[in-house]
Amino acid sequence: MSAIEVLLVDDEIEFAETLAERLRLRSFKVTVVSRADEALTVLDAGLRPDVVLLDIKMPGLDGLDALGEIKLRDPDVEAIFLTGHSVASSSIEGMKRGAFDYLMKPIDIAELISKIEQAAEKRKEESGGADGQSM
Amino acid sequence: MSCPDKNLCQEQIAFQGRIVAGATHEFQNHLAVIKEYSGLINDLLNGKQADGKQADGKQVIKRCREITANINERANRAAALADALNRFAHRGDAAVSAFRINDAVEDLIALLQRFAAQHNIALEAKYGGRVAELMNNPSLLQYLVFLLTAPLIEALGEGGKVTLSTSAAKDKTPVIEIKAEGTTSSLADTGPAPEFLKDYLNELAATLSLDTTRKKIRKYTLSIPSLTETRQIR
Repeated sequence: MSAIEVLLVDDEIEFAETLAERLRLRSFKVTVVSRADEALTVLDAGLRPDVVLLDIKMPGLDGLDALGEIKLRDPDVEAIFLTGHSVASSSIEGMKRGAFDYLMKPIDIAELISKIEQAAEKRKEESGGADGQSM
Repeated sequence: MSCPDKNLCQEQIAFQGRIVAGATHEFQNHLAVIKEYSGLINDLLNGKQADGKQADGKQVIKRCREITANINERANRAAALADALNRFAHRGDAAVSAFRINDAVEDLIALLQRFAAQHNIALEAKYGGRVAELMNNPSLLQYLVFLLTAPLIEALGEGGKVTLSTSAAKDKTPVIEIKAEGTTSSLADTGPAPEFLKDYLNELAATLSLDTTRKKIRKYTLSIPSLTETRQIR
């Protein structure tokens, strides 16, 4: 089975780079960007992640609006919000807009990995089989 | 503590809530980073390697040292934010107290950094060296400076800059200048109307002027005197 590909979008770059390093140690393939518009740029350039990890509060385009733009480019991609907000209203709004799930920071790595794997599995099923190939 | 104007107090409480919410969000970020660093140290000590090869002990120790230095730096930043928040909270202990505007501005800048960063605006301070201590309401002053600064941060285009400068006028009255320099958005409609601020200015016995002569710059000048004994007894 090929490695699960993750796009991590978070303006707290130290958090994002360290989390990415930990995911890579667990054999995930991770691309890190610090802004939503950069995420759209890498998607436009052809990156097709299985799962997008998305911060909600970011300069410029926020995570909620970014999700809509990401889904326009790849309707089957699954998104998990990572948020520092103790109030869950933004995360619930994210779920309404089609996110797979959300996690509060600081995150638990085992819980995150479990959710990434579930989200990747869902993407695989919805895109019609292994590695996103239509059957 | 008495509250001479209920509406004013309610608005100040809302402002304090906004500051606390921003600071706690920032604490969450610091903790999230520290937790990831701590987890990474654990991963490395457990011999995890991205390529599946045997971990090099010397490389692991070197990397762990780098990470602990980063944790230390993060903890220091969180502690500085906690100090600023603590001082901010205590500024409301008395309606009128002795304080330096440099300190009041410094704390406000620290607490508004994330808000500015969210808008991609540089928020900077320039402190005058000979600004005397004054007797006034520091909590209300911080609120007033926030009311003047926040709309500028929100209105400026990305890459703009807001500078809070302190100085002393010729008669030694402390002065805070709030200057916004925009790059893309129009600043024409920014800033609350002077009428809206009248109650706050009266409470502080302060004066405010607005310079709009340059198209891409907005500059407020706020003069804050020491309150006389008569004004302090309300």
